[in-house]
Amino acid sequence: MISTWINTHLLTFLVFAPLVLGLILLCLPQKQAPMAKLLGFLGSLGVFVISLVHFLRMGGHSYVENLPWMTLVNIPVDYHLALDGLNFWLVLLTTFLTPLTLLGTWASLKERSGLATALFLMLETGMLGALLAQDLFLFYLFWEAMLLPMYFLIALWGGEERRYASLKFMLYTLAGSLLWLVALLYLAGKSGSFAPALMAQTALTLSTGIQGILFLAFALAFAIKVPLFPFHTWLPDAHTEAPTMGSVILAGVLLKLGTYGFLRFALPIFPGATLHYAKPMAILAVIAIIYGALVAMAQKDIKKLVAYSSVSHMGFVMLGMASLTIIGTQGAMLQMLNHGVSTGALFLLVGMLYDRAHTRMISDFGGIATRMPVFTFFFMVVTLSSIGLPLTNGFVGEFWILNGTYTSAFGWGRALACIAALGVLLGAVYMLWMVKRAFWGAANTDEHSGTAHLTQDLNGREIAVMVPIVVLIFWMGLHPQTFTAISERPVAELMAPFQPDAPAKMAEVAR
Amino acid sequence: MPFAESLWGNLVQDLPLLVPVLFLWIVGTLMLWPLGSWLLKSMPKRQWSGITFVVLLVTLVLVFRTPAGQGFSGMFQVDGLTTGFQILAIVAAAITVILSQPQLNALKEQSVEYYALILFSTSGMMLLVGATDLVSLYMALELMALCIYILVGYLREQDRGIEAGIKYFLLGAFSSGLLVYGMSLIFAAAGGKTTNLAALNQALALAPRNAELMIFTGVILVLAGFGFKVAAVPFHMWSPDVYDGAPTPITAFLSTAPKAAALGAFVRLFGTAFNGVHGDWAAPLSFMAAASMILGNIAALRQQSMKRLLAYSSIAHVGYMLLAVLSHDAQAGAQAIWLYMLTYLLMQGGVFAVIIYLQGKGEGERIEDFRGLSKRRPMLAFAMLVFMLSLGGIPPMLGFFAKFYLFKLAIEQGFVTLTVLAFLTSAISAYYYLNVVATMYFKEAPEGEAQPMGSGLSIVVFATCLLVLVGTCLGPWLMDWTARIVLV
Amino acid sequence: MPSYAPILLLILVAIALPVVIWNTSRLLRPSWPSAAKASTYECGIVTVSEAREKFTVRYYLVAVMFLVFDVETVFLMPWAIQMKELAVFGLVEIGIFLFLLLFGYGYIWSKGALTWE
Repeated sequence: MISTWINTHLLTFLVFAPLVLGLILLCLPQKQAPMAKLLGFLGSLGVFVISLVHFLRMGGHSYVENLPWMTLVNIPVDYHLALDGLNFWLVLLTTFLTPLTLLGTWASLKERSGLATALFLMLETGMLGALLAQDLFLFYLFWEAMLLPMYFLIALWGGEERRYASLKFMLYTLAGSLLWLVALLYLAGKSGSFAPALMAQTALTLSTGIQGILFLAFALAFAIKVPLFPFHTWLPDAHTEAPTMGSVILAGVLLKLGTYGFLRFALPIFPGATLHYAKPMAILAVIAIIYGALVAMAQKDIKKLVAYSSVSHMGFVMLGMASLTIIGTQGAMLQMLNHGVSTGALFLLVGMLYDRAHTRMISDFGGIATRMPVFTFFFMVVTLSSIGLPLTNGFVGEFWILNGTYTSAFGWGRALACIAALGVLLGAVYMLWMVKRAFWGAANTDEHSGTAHLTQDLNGREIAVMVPIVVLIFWMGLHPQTFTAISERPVAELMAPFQPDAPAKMAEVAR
Repeated sequence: MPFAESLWGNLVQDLPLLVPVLFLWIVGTLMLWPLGSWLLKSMPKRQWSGITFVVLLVTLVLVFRTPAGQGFSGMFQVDGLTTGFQILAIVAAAITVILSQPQLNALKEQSVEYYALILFSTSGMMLLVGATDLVSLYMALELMALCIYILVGYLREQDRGIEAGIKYFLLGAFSSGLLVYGMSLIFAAAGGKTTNLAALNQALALAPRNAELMIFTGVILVLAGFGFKVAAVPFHMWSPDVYDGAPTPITAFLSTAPKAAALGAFVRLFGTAFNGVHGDWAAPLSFMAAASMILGNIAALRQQSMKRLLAYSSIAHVGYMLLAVLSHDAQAGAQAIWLYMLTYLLMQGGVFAVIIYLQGKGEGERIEDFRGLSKRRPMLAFAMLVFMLSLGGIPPMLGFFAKFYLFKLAIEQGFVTLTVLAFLTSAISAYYYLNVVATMYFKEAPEGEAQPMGSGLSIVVFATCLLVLVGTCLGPWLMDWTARIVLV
Repeated sequence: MPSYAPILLLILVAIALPVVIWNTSRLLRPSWPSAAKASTYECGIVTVSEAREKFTVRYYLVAVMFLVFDVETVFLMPWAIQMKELAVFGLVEIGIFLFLLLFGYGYIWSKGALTWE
């Protein structure tokens, strides 16, 4: 009976199963923390398996749930969830990363780890809901529902500056999304609906100026989440202070929701304004790429370095999207997955290192490779994938993005593609330089900060976490079609108004 | 004798409208004499809070049973707005009464008069929200305010209490003067024939051109008078000191009940009588709203005292609600304010219950006293967390939905700039509310052990917390459902 | 506004009169001040202290209560004039009014405001 219900309401099940599980875990007494962790891990693993099995069987038919939900100030709100080409792999990435992260950070949290697990599962609900929601109000609710668990993850289990970092994270995202809400309400009032399709129709009837303002309000909320330069300053703080669990999911999925929001809502609702603002967006993206890489180079803290590399990588995603070409956007889609896998894995590895050494300063390490060969192996693989070495996943995404930007119809495409390519190079510089300093050479034997005593290599649990990731890295690098085939059609439809072979349409939209 | 007959007839016809108010008056009077000071003199004073609570519940039932209608020569009207805001006033009073019990016990200041005054001022609010005439409006306002002046200065042994009482009385009397002066100017400008709100609307439309300045001055003075009552910037100076000095339950009362009643009357007065001269007061009121949002939130950032923080934040909340007063559609405005006030009432009542509980332990006045509350009293800290997040309007908490309604209306009415400002300032407010949360959860507790809570307080804390949480889960449905009460 | 002219005139006269009288007498009278003349005169009794003195709060209490009851009985006046027209209705109304006064009286009595101790 349950299985038939899951068959018919798969999406609802996926979204709310973690929440229910999380609430159950909340009720467990604190002494039962190991039990809670186990339950959380098994539950989220179950969610992943169910989603994987069902999705692979999906074939031609797609999952949709659409019910009228309520009337909010005379505007109908629908409980509309749908799985399609745009969110298919992101949903799987989320369900995949959740159990993996729980397993990977099993021993990291000493205090109230049951509560952390519960919050983490609630976060998963928020992310899955936001990814699947097709109604803007529903999306908004899930979008904001992600804030609180993340805030508490940072604030309760974070590092020294956790209060500052969590507050900054909260206020940044809140300010952005509140402005967005104004635009949303304005548009909903005009169109009498929260459905993106109807909103898009209404938006076309508005004047160009108002369209532009509304688009900017949408873009601001999403850009803060991405984070696009110059709204990125919350990210390094949040990443550095968050516990490993929070960092992984922040990099792995949360940031994607910003770019996903662009693709899902901002672009199709405001095609005219998108065309108008493509250039500034692309320029900011390139600044993010270069600036993020340069700042990453100067970091002394490994985690902060990875955080700034996130800014750089997400800049690539934005650039691919702003090119408004099919290949560039496909690259952006793939790059979202890549970044989720590689940077998530990097944060996991940094967390494992920190659990052993209780420091993250590059200068405290040295010569780890000889003492922790397995760890070093995994770290090298993930690093190379993050750099974008051919055969790994990073290469394909970045290549497509640069290709798309270079061949785009815009005059600025070629120049920006060339500058952005520099970012790839810089990425290799800061990552490899960090690896050289931390993993090779002589051990730091300083009696206070040195880590020469560090000999404990990865255990079975940690290896079990890393193996699937490494498999995925090579799979995505060798056969990216697996991950991009399904988004081909939706992306083509999304980009249709912007294609140069439809000049009449483009002119119409631009007008 | 046809004259006397007609008087009888009118009275019999109109009296049902006032039954809840009359009930309060009679019970309040009887409580003072002969019961409280003669017959039941030996009864422990603290039992009066229980009696008062029951009386308020009965009044609530009576309010629901009161038929809609108009009476007393167009002086008083029972409609959705009246019923809705009367409910708010009664609920606020009931919460206050429960909160007062432990506080006054601790201070050894129990008395019948305290509870009777709460009843009388509640009756004033109930009249105020139904008043459809300048005269009855003013009278009801004074009845409400006079009782509160005394309640604010109730702790007459404390300097702070006296200061608060005197300050509130002087500024309140001053603002009443402004109000009545403005009303008289309006009365004169409208031809000196009527004080009825609906009739005034027509009379003002027909007023001669040379009366424009008089109308404008009158409207502005009335606006200022109401600004004082609801503590909107620039007429807010009294509120932090008064909130700080008044007994804490009265602070809770002050920040909810009179505000709700005054805002209800505000909407009615400006939505009906002054609707035709919208242009006269739209700009000043917009300024008041904007200034309240900005100043309230920014001043709250720097506060060390919990009560002052709530005072400033309540100025900001009033600023948001003024957006709805601005609305051209008085009905929708009243609805939005009602919903906002209802949720605000629940959250504010809960927060004050927590503060009073901590005050009973000799702390709770300063934000610092909340350090490590999550360790010492996890349930209490959790409740406080819910209230703070909800007050900050963080989605998907109940407070967010209330704000949503309000801001949705404002955008529909075309106040986009003000709404953007409201959103930005509410992001600021998230800072200081979260700061309290952070203090509770991330700062180490000084010392002390967990203690059980008093029954009355814990009921308030958990009931309001539960309501806020239920509202969070079912927010949109409940809101649409409850908002119908205000619709005529 | 000619109808207000007499009022204005009256105000002016009212202000002018004391000014004129006081100044006239000051100019006309002889002035030989002395300590005895400048002191307070109270029916020939020697003064003991300043005229500004603290009174016990009971005086104010009595004054306030007098004022309340005195002013409230003023409401009896219109009723008395219209008694015939208002008939039983008026009787009931004024009865309620007096009853309320009675309650107030009972309250202050039982509170001990009337005992001077």
